[in-house]
Amino acid sequence: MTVSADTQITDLTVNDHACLTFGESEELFDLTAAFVRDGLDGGLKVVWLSDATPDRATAELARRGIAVAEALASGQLVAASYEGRLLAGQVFSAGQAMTWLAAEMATAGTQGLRLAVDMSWALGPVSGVEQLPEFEEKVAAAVTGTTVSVLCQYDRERFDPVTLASVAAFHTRSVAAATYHADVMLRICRQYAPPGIRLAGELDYQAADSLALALTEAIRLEGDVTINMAPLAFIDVSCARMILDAARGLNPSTPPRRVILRCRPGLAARFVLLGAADIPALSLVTVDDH
Amino acid sequence: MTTNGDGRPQSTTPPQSTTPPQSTTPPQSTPILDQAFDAGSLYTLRAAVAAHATQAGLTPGRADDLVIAVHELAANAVRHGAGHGRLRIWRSDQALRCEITDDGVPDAKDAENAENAAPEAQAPEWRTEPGHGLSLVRQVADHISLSSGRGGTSATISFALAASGPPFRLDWHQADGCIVLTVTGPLDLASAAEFSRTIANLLSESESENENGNVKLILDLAQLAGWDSVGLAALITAQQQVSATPGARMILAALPAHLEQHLREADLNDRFTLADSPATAAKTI
Repeated sequence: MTVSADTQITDLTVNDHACLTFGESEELFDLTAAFVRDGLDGGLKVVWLSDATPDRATAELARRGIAVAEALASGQLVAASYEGRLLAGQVFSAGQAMTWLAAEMATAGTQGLRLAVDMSWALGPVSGVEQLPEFEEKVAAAVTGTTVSVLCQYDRERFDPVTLASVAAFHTRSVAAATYHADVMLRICRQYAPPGIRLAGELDYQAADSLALALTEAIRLEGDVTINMAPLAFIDVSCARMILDAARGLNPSTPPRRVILRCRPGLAARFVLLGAADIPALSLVTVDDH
Repeated sequence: MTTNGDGRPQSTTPPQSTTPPQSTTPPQSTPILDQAFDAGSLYTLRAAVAAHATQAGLTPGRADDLVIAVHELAANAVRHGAGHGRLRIWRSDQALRCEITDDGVPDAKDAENAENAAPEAQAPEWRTEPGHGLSLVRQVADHISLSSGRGGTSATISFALAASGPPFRLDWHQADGCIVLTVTGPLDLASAAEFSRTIANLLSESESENENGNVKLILDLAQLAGWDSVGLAALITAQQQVSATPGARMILAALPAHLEQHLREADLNDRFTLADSPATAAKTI
């Protein structure tokens, strides 16, 4: 059982230059959604550069409960590609990228700016990629003492440790999803948007301690709790009962809180047979099999 | 991990240290799967069961049900019994029969891993308190028999292989102020979503047409071929939606005898009102 000692995405504040590492696209979208949500809630302008198309990027945010339509319409939220911002064709130049960043900071002005950059462009055949540490250093200098925060997003499976180490020093904080259990069979981690936990793989009683810790921490937060089991292929009775008991325990809370179970039809049926429908605080949301 | 020609397990898990207890009906044929298990090999056990269930022709929903049933019984042997055990599966024309045995003698290594293994290993018995998976096994398996003695414990479950029959379909009509919904074919992973949508639509439409509510729903199940856990859960959810709708009622009519017996054995019969036929249901609803 390992709980990451890193900063949580929800702890970031103004003039942070944070380095986010993620393990899979679901995690990237989840953490970005939390970063975007908190930025929009704080009245900041929010910009996300990624290698997903802007439509895909905003759809992923919407799927996690972000009111993207209003924010896009008002210009508070921008999802964009790298072209003309960090890249010109397949060429990267730290100087040109900083020119773009300065312009964004000027446009946002006193509103403040939250900028998330998926760094996977640097994995492609881009000339000038050796200027990446220089760029990170300049970003760190540029945001100091401002109302701007920048979240650089690195895929920890695809970036080599040397590159990650060379850029880490320029960041004020390092951010990752809290992970309660990770092995080839099972992954249990915190989900940030909507808040809760995410379970992937196969879960049986042998991982009950990790599940209990994850549930305890998720319930300690305020508001509704989502148990995202869409990527979970198997759950045994003791772990399913532990989740139901957690939902039962929330029942008399004030204000009323809900536990939302997202899972495939087979698992949803298992929860029903174990009494899920008799728990008022519990909602079962069935997701399609893939 | 599979069996070889003579049915001996090619497992890397510890072999049985003593002869497992005799099953209640000793089979003559060669099992299609014969595999030893302990705490570290439950995952491979589930994978092997899933593969054989699908190969034998169980539908995806029923294959999932077999996997959870075997897992719960095997996990019970690991946690509350010897700490290890043996699974054998036989296939007949009509059914898959699975036997999970546990010789009741914990290995020194297993005893450290198993919760409360020592006292229970001396007096093995099937426990049924909450937290134990046995109630779920009863809900998903067609038949279950358990035995225990000084030689250990043995659980046998069977899953009927689906006979060919008519495909799933739903028909409904109004009669005597009731909605009669006829369910034909299997109610399972493939069809339950359509069933649930139809129930929800019938409830909301009838409610808006009839200001007093009082929706009377009769499910004519004479042609219902069977269910998996997803289908059974859909029936339970439908009943709960009806119960939550003021004035609404639902009766299960003409439920085939073997399914009615399964409801009783799964301890779910109290959740439903049953009637012999749609006509009887219309009189009593």
